[in-house]
Amino acid sequence: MMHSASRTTTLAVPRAMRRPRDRALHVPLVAVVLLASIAVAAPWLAPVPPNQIPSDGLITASSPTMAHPFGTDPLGRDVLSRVLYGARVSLGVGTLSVALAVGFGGVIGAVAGFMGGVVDTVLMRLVDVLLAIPRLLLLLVVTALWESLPLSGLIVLLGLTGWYDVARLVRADVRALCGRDFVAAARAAGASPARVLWRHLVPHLQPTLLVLGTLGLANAIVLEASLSFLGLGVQPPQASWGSILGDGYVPGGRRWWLTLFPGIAVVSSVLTCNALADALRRRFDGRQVGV
Amino acid sequence: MSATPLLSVRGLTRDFVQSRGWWRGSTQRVRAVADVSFDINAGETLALVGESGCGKTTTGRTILRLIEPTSGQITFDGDDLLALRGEALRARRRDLQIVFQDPWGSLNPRLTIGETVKEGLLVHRLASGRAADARVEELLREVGLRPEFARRYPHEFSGGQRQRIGIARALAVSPRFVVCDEPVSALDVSVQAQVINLLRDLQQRRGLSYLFIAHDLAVVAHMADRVAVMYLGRIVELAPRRALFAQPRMPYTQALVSAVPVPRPGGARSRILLLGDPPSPVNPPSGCGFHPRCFHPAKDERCRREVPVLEQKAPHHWVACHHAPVDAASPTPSLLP
Amino acid sequence: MTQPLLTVHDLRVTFETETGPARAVDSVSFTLHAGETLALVGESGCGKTLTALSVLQLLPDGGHLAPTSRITLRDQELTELAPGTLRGIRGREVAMIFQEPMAALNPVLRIGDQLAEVVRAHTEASRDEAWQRAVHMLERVGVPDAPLRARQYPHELSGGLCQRAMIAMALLLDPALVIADEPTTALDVTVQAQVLDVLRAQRERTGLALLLITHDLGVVAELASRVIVMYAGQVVEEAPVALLYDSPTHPYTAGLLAAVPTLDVERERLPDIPGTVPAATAWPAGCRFRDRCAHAWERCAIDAPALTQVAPAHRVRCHLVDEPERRRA
Repeated sequence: MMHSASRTTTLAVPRAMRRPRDRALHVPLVAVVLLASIAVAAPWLAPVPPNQIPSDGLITASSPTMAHPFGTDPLGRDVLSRVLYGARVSLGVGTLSVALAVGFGGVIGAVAGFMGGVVDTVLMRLVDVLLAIPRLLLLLVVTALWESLPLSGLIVLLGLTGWYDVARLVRADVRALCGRDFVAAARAAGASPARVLWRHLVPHLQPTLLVLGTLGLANAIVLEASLSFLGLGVQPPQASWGSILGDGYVPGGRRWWLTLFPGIAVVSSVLTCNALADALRRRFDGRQVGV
Repeated sequence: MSATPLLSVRGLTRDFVQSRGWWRGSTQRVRAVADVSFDINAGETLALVGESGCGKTTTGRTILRLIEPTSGQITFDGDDLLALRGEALRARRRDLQIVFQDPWGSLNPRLTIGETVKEGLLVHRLASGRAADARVEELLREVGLRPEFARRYPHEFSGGQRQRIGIARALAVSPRFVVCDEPVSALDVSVQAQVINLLRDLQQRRGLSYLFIAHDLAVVAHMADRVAVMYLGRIVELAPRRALFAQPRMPYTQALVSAVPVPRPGGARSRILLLGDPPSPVNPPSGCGFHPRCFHPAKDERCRREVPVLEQKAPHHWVACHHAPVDAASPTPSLLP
Repeated sequence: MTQPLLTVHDLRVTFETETGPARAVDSVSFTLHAGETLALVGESGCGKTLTALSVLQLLPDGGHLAPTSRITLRDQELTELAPGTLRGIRGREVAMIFQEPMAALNPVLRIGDQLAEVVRAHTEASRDEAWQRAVHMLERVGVPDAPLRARQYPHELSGGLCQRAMIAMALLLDPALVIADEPTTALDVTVQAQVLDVLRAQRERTGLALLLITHDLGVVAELASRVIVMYAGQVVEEAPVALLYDSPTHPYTAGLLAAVPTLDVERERLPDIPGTVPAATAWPAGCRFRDRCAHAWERCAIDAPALTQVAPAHRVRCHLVDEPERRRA
């Protein structure tokens, strides 16, 4: 509480003198765009339709050949095509559910942080209660009980169970921001609470939301894959990385191609998302004015 | 002095509630501002000085209702400020503005400075579109900045320039009263001088009244008409500038004045060294808040028990001390009306 | 003339920035003798803090010391020392006091422990001995109830007490040189008075040399025997304190002194220095102060003035030294 706390920092290095920003953001960004492009372009990239069961030949899982570079699954369907189409499902479900989670959590958090008092307490205790319910267990139970879950249902489910952290962090950000002088200045200028919230607080939430979003996406991909692996998420015959993995599950590793290729897909997506989140965080740490 | 003061504050008090945890009793009231009263006339500068924890910043923000007072009365131009709500309060905000201490935190880094300065104009519907932009350019010129700066972002400016932007923002709505909350504390000496001069010029040109909050007495000596010294949330001395510096009557003021380093080798006046540190309002001493560190020869039991009231000890010179001398020529000691 | 305790020669510190290299400290040289107090004065961005940090090789990330820079402590060349040896010197021969007392102390260690740690790092003292020395030092710097305070954590102490604890930590091993970076800036004025008193008393007791970094000309007047004024990474004036305050030669020094508000002056316009400090990435050609100088003429834009000796112990970097008739009234 000392006066003039911002007088000079001990290492009085002016802003212009800091290290140049490292280019770490470009690599994960390109990777993400690449993944998304592959998913979008699946119909053109896939050699055969993903659900096509061979009319001739054996209806059996076979290891990779020239005709089927990733092999076939137990129903004879081409795994490469299924992985490509699976990208659409996995990434699509992931992205949409995260968008829902971030949007919903962001609103709750902003309202709680801004209004404070009773509203804040009620909302945050609600979050506390919801956090006490293990997410995976809840998802397992709901998807198990729900007969033939549609994709949209899966998205909503993932979204509504994934907003708690966002709410908390956004609330913390908003509370910190509210104490800043420029917010007081806006109030002193006569700005209404709505204006203060929209014009002065929300723009500063971008970094947090972006980082949480990318991390959430990684998480959502894994969750969807887990559920589909158990047969509870994406329903057959629709391909998802998790379901391909599930189809391939045979103890002893005899059908290794059914594990390796979708596995690589999941791992690389998750790593890319995490790398992007990290790069974003580092980029924003340098830029943000101390939120 | 004009008949009615522009701003009149009576008995302003602000408590903060701190929860202390389950096993120490649930809450604790911290009195940041205690029974503060003063007047400011049109065109005048009243300085509020004190050290950390004395409540001067809280006082300034409370007057603007950026923080709500726990009790007290604030009258601005005849209107009861505390009775205003919602739209009426926002409309009144035109007349009372504030310049902040921290040049780095007081500007929204995501808005251009033009947008920041413009905000008041837009909110109060004083101008819009091209007219608003023109007004912004005028204001920037008035505070000594180039009008083209309106398109730039805060991080492109130095501390002194950012303070000027903050002043331009405050002036945009043509206020009559400005709270200057340590506006130069975070600035270098040469820049500080520039901003002090700017504030004085603006006051003369626009007839502004200032509540100038500072901890640096030397700066106050250049800005203030009258000075109020705060300690532990109370005003302990209030006097015209010259009288306060020449003849401080409250022991704390005396110590404060003597502690200011003089930029002249060997020029240090005999210094009063206080024992201990400025107390925190969380656990204030009983009676006179200053008594543990007071060096007055007549300090006694009364100082320990009774909180001294701000009384007039000389013409226009108010002191809160049981043992401060009263001038024979002054009117009978009375309380601030 | 006794051998100087510290000799800094041609100190140059550069930073890599987005807009190119910044020569934050540009050829600074000075000496410091035992018992002396030298103040490095200047405003933000003048390079005074970096200069001080360079002595202890504590430059922040991205800062480079030029290979030609020399920092000599007695007869040891600090730039050539191995990290281990340097660590031995830090704290023992040369100690540092930082600006933000609460930030410089470890919040999870008790005050006494932090002080004791310094003792044990450099001597063979046992736990108890180190603790005793810590408490003793706290008493010497005027911390009331020292044994109690030593058992407390930094957040339990006020800013003034923390600063005194930091001073105690700096003085524990009886260093020959103490570098104080804005030691009182973050403190209230009554506390500042106490801390200055402590520094003065310690200086008298131990005869240590003090390198004081500050922007506060009042503090300088109280503590320093010699002053170096820095501007835009360079030394612009160096003089004994009385001479500097009485008759500053460099226009910046004069401007700075005139701009300091004082209690005694009747309320008039404060003379200020127009303009702002140029950016470290693009120092202007010629004299770096010329854009703000009331006396500048054509030569100042082309010719960079050198630091010239105008009297014993008085150096000035200004063309007015050669052409005093150019000085405007």
